[in-house]
Amino acid sequence: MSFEVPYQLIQSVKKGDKQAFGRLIDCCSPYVYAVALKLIGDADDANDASQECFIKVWGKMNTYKSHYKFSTWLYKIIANTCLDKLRKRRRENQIFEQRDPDIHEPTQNNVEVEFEEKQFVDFVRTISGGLSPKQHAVFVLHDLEELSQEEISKILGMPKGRIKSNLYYARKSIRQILQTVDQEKNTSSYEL
Amino acid sequence: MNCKQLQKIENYHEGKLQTEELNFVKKHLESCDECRRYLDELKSQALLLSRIKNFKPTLINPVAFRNEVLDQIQSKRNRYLVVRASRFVNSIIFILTQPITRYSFITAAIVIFGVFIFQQTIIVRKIESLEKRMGSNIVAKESGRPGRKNVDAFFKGRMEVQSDSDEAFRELLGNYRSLQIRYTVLLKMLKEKYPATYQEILKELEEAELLPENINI
Repeated sequence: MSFEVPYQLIQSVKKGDKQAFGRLIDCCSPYVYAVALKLIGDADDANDASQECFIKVWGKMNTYKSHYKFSTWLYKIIANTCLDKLRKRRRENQIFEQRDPDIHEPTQNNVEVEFEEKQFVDFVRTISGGLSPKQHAVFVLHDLEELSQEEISKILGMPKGRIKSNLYYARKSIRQILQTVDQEKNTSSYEL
Repeated sequence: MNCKQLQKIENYHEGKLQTEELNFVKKHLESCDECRRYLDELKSQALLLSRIKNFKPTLINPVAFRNEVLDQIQSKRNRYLVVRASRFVNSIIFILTQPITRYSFITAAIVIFGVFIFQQTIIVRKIESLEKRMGSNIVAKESGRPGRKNVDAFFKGRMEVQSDSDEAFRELLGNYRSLQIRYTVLLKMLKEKYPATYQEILKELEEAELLPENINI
């Protein structure tokens, strides 16, 4: 999902205005966090990645060129940050910790939201196991964030052809993963 | 998944089929349990994907998030400054502790001291020379007794100018332009380099009324 940031705000941040940067964080953090959660599938890690992303933005702001779309530039940083985390997790074979029910116990008002978030996080975790980090990123940016292939090409630094092939294999893998999950569910229900 | 029509079911689900094939698949679905199950799976997956797509994750506390980022930037900046300062200090200490640096400093100090002394010597000699030349002229013209001792005595204020009158001495100075120039140069140099001596000499010259009015220092 593309978003616009006022040109004046970007210029102020480039000059080192911290208050302006605070406003930029307010403006962009929902999008950054959403992408991070879709890529990582863990709220705490997504929060950390988003913070890391903004720290990088502050450090690299002078390298940002105005002719480049700001949202694309920001997506590039968050995508790379999350991909690094995903790769690191793969290397370490990190296992997702179970949520502590005491900490995340849903209240009456947000039962539906909690359910959706849990379902969402489960989905991301399920697919992330069966996809390569690049395939996962292409799927999230294209199918969930609805970015154009051209933008994704700039964000991930890969040609359009590879994006198409990654997307094809990602969709195929997701379908297979979901089928397997459905079959497992059916089997367990029969057993019960 | 043995049915050969599964690919057509996918196309049917995605709405890619033309009328003829569409009718065929519809009829096939009535008779094939496997394809019906497959279509149900595709539908439930599509539903899940659309729900996932519509789900908008939100930060629990955006204000705390922002403040945390700004705090981290500040602390990172502070750490960076501390590291930079310590690196600078370490590099200075490293340079100073090197033998070549110590020798360089000692050599430089000796050279600077030598240059200073040499410069001072040259200036003093120049002044002395000027004094002598000026004094010789004055004393020679006035008293007819040139000589180093007389010159020194004149500038130290111990010698009284032996003129017939002060008026005559001023006239004498006025007549010798080259002497005036030397006088000016001398006093200017004294004023710049030796203010105390300059004041002393000026006072003495003024008291003795030997300072011509047309000399601008």
